[in-house]
Amino acid sequence: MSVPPTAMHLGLVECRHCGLLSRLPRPAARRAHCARCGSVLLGRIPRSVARTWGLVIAAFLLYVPANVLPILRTTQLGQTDSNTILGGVAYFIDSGDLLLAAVIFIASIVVPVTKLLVLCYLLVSVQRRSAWRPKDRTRLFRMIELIGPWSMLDVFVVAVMVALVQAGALATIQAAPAALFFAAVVMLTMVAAMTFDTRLIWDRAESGHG
Amino acid sequence: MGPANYVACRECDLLHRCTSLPEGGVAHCCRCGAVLYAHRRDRTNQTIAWALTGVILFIIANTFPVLSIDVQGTSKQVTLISSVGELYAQRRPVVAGVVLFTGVIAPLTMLLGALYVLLPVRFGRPPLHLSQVLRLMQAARPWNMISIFLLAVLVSLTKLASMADVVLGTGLWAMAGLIVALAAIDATFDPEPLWARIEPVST
Repeated sequence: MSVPPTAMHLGLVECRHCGLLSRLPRPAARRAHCARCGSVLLGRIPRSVARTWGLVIAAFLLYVPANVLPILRTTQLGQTDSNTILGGVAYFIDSGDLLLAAVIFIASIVVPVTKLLVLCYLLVSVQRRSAWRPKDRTRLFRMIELIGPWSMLDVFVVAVMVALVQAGALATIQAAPAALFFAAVVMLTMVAAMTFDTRLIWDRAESGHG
Repeated sequence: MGPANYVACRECDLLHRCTSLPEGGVAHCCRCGAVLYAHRRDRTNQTIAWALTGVILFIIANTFPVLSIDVQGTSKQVTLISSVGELYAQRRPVVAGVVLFTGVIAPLTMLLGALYVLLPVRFGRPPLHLSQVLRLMQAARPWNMISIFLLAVLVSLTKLASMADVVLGTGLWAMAGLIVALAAIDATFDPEPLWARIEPVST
C-alpha cells in the first residue's frame, strides 16, 4: 500500500528545537546533531511509550497520598484541623460556596484524573496500533495538554493561604504533606505529556492499514 | 532542492513542501491540522514593548502586596515571592520550589529571554548564545503558570472575604497586567526569523 510521505520514512528528521529538517546520516551509528542549533536529532522521542507509562503510573501512585493525606492544617484557638483536598471541597459545599467547591473539585480531581485516563487510553491505542480516528486522538491530546497546568491551582491556593493566614485572631494555616504529593502529580503529568510523541499515533495508525 | 524547502508536521510527521504564504497566512498540516508555519508580520517592536512592560509589572507584582488581610489590628500581606518564602519557612522546600519555578522562573525566562534575543537584533547585532536562549524559552513556555496563581488568589479571596477584611493590592492588578503581557508576547514573538539567522554548520 502507499506509504505516506512522513519525514521518518524518507530518512529525514526535523529538529525538535529549531525546526531545521536534516537528512539522517547512514549508517546511523553515532548520534546526529542538528547543524543549526546543535541539539541531538531524534526521529521519535526515545522510548516514548515506556517513559510515558512510567510517569503515568508514578502519578497514579502519588495521587493516592495526595488525596488521603491532609493538604492544609488550620490551627485555631489551640485546636488543629487537618483538611484533605476532598475534605476542603466538602467544607466549601457545607458553607454554601458551591462555585468554589466546583472550581477546586474540577482543578484537583477532574482535571488530573481525566488527564491520566486519557494518556492511558492514548498509550494503549498506540501500543495496539489502533487506526481509530488519529486526528481526533491528536485533538484529545492537545486538549489535555491545555488543561493540564490548571490542576496546579490547589498548590497555589495553599501557597496564598499559608502566607496570609498566620497568627492573629483568625487562625494559623500551615501546608501539610499532601501539598508535596499533589505538586509532584501535576509535574509528573505535565512531563508525561511531553514524553508522549503524538507522531506515534499516526505511525501506528498508518501501519495498521498495512 | 534540499530539505530546507520542506517541513515535517510536529504532531504527525507528514512532510509538506513549503509554499509562500500571504502576510498573516498560516499553513496547517493537511492530515492532522496542526500549525506548520506562518507568515507573520514583523512584530519585534511590539514584543519588545510587551516584554519591557512585563518586566515592570513583574517587579510591581512582587513588591507590592497582592492581597492584604486585616484581622483585629494584625495585618498580613502576600506576594508570589513571599508565599514561596513562607512555604520554605514551613519546611516545604519542594512545594516552594515548584511555586518558584512556575510563578517566577518560567515567566521571567520568557520576559528576559525575549528582551535578550530581540533587543540586540533591533540594534543590528546578533546576541551571543542565541540558540541556547531560544531553546531555554521554548522549554520554559509550558511552565508559566501565573494565570493559575491569579485564579488561586481569587479563590482565596472569596473564601477569606467572609471571615476578615481582605484588600486587593496593587500587586494583584500588576499581576493581571503581567498575564496580559505574557499572552501578548506569546502571540507576537516569532522565533523563526531568529533561527534563520543562525547559519547551519556543516560538519
